[in-house]
Amino acid sequence: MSKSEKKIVLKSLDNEAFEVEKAVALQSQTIWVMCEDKCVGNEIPLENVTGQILAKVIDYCKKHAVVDGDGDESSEELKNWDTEFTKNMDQSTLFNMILAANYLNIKSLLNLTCQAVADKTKTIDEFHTFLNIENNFTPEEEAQICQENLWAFDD
Amino acid sequence: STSTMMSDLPEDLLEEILCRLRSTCKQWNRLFNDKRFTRKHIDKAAKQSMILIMLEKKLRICSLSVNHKVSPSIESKPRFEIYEINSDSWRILVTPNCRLLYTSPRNDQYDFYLVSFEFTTERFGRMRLPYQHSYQTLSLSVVREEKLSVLLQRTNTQWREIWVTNKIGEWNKVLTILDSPPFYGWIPISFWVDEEKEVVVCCKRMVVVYNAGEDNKVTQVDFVEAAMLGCLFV
Repeated sequence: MSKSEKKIVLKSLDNEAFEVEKAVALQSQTIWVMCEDKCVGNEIPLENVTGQILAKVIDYCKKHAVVDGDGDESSEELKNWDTEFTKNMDQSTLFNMILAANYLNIKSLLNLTCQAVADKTKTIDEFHTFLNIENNFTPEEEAQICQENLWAFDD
Repeated sequence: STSTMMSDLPEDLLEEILCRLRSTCKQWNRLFNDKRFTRKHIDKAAKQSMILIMLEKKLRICSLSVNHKVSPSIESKPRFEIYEINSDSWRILVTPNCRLLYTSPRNDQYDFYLVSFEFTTERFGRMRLPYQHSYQTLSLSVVREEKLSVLLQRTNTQWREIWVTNKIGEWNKVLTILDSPPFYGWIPISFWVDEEKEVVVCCKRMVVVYNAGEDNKVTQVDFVEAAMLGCLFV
């Protein structure tokens, strides 16, 4: 495989081009299918994702490709990176990330971003006030529930 | 740019978020755990079985129609339909991309992948197999209704491997069976594997039980010769 074949160009909705390692991009099942079908050349148009969001998705894929590659980086560190990654995203960005992860079919990113929205929702005081809900879980109990939740979600 | 709101998300994605709100309070948690609540949703979901068959190098999805008044039949349909119990009728689905249902020849080899269908979202997908081509044997099974497993043998190899998916759908090799009786080429094989790494392999002429020790070394623990037409683990 020549060097150029190892890279592909992802083109966003607003025509922003990103050159990435194929191994990074192939974490998206959608891109993987497109490459397999050979219905595209080296450039893949992604009509549903803006450049701003695509840049973030690529950041995520890069981080996760490296870790999967050498397998030495601790999962703890990766978890912390994921938390930092979504921490400062505003609501609109998070929803766009969910839509992008869904369209690109990157399950772990979809899981991460859905969880981030749920976590943020739960911590919003207005949410509890409006629905008149009191969070009557102790922090330990809540952690336990989150652990139990794992079976239900594809994380 | 306009901001994206929760209401811009399709329903299946909204559900993904809502079901994570279990830990909002104890009452909600109880509700999510309540079988009645779950059943409300399950009852609404379409119940339908289907099989994937390979005909002349094409994959075809066939509806498996189970009607208790007449004998069960398998109907080969070029398009994809779902049977709804409530309305007692078949509903036609639009297949997003028919090419998805075919294997594509490349370098004289055929690529293998799984075609998935998500009942809740009614969407087709494609899932990689551990290797992309060159299989001599390939058989699918399910571990505890949660994970997929595959028993495979690559062309020109003597060993068989069992792979199981993890929670995010990636394949992990769990066992390698180094020496086992021949499976007589491309014939249907059923197998079953549990989390204690006990394996039962069943093919036309025999049933073999394997067990993996702590060192992951596989040993054959039982062997029965039997002539059978097919075997299905349920």
